[in-house]
Amino acid sequence: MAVMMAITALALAVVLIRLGWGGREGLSGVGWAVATLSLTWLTWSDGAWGLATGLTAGAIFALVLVLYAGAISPRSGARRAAANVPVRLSNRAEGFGRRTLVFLLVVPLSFAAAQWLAFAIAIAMKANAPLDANSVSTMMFVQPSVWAILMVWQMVLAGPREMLAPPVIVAGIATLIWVAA
Amino acid sequence: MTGATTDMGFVRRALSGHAAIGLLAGALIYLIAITGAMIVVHDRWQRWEQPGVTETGDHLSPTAAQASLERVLAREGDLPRTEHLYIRMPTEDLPRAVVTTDNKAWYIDGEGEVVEREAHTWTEFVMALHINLTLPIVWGMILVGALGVALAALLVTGVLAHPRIVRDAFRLRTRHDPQLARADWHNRLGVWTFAPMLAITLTGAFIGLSYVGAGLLAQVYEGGDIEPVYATIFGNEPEHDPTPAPLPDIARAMATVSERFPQTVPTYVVVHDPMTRGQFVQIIAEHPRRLIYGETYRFDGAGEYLGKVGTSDGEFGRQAAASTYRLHFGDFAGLPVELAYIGFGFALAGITATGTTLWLRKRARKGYPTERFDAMWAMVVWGIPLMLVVTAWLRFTGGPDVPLVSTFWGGLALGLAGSALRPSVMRASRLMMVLGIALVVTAIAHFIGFADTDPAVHALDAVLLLGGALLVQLARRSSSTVDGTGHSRRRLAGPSSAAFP
Repeated sequence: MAVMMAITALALAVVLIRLGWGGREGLSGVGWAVATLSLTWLTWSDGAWGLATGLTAGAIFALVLVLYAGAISPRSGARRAAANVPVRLSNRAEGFGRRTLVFLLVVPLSFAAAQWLAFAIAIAMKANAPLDANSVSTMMFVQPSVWAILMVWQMVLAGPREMLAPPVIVAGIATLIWVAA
Repeated sequence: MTGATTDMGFVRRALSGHAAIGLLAGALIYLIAITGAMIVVHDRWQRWEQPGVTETGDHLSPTAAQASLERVLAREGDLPRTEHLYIRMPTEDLPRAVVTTDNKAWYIDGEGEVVEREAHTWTEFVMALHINLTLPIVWGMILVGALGVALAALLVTGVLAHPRIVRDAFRLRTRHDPQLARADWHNRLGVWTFAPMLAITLTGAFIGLSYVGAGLLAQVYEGGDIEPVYATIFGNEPEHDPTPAPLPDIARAMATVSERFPQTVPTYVVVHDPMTRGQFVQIIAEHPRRLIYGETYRFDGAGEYLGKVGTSDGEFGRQAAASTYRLHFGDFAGLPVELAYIGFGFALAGITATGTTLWLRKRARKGYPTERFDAMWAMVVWGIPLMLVVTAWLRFTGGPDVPLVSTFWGGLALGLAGSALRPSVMRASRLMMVLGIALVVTAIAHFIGFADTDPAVHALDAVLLLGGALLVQLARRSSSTVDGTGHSRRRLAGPSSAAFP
């Protein structure tokens, strides 16, 4: 019953956010507040299960409103077709080399840096004790999370030279943790 | 002014990075999204694939479970002795108990009698495409885990590259210029599914890449043996003693779980080293309103309770690790959440399809030739589901042992080669029409061929029929309204049609 009430409140919250969108900011603020309260309530009463259920329901309510917006979208004329302006193709060999370098920095190097950090944290957590669930699962959660963060960080940088820094920094932090452990 | 320029530079770089990751991983993410959406209800697909099997009902009694052990082992008397035996309990989605050994798997009825061989090879094939891309399991799962990380990065860079995220939050201009409609579909679906999608993709990455971390710890601390590493989370097995012994008393074990933990729902009974003195029994039982896949209750061969592993109330790391599976597969709150997860899967497929198409159209406007890429991407978008339908037909006509994996990849490779060689033939609208017709034919043929089975089985036929009819309609509308410049005049650009190259 409590779950159903929280889910209903979430639906109401999404409607308020939609009503407040594009003008009545007060309504939108109330909507976000109700959504936050509902999710907090679900998490308080049912833990991770409640939070997951609430987020799933909230996303679906929002998608329904977006799909409704699509269904009633007014017809509009096609934009003027952009001219097919011939452009000078970049040097293919140079472009290929650059892309390969970016790939190496973002995939294997950042993977290794994230793995090294995850391993160092696991070692620090378990100290001199045998392997345990907390250190092992922390390692397994940290690796993909840090790799994803590294990937995002690198992809907003200007070029390969700048992209080298994030995995090097993470590997350096990992080494410090490993030495300290 | 400087700040604004810097911001735009950041957005441009984020968009560029977003496109780079998408192009690198787009086709495989699309395949994983489509198959992921399907296998949310894999139990229902299994029932759809083998509809005529006598069903157990929604409950298997301890006596029947005990009887099934004897009967399955007797049935496999001439096969190598199995070292593991699993009884999968019936559920609402799949009201059939299944006993699996190292040799085969068997459906059993409510009395524990062996009914038929479990042979849902097509469903397993679709699951393998999602879980390991049909590659060797460890390498495949690592690759899929890496793709999960790439998808997480795509989600975040997509938001960073979207400076008008609040202003456009509820704007979906489906009847506007096709490129704008595609962008709206891509952005709106991406933004509003962000939170659950991030949870799904990171749990998938955890599941796939855990092999690397566990392997590393095994090399450093366990002499290369990975089992002790996983045992820290999932529990370990006792010492093996091969001295012959009678069958384990699983009926007593099941009765104990019912008495001591009445709030739980047993999903699996696992027997390790059956008919040896070292045999032991695990009963995995779901805990309602928890994300954990279940708690593992342990018993000796006599059915004496030994304790539990602690996934329900043990160390936090154990509970967290045990919670990744149901969160990833959407199996934690019944059919409504399953339907939501199917929606997320198809939304991700739509996001991926429109993303690459947006990039191709931009290239075309810059003067780059894109005809072959257009056709090849159309083959990815429509050819993948079409090949899934073709493999289903092959399964139904050729039996469970037909080569589904090679047919799928071989057919897709041929399609891609054909698209590269004759791009004008492999038009998206044509492929979409073929897929729509194939789905309709599949639904009708399945309904007629298995008309006397449980009506619940035919729910998927109805979905296939509706989906196929919708695709046929969209394809007809699209092919009749695309003018010579490639600009569509269609009234409503759905996510599927907006993915048109």
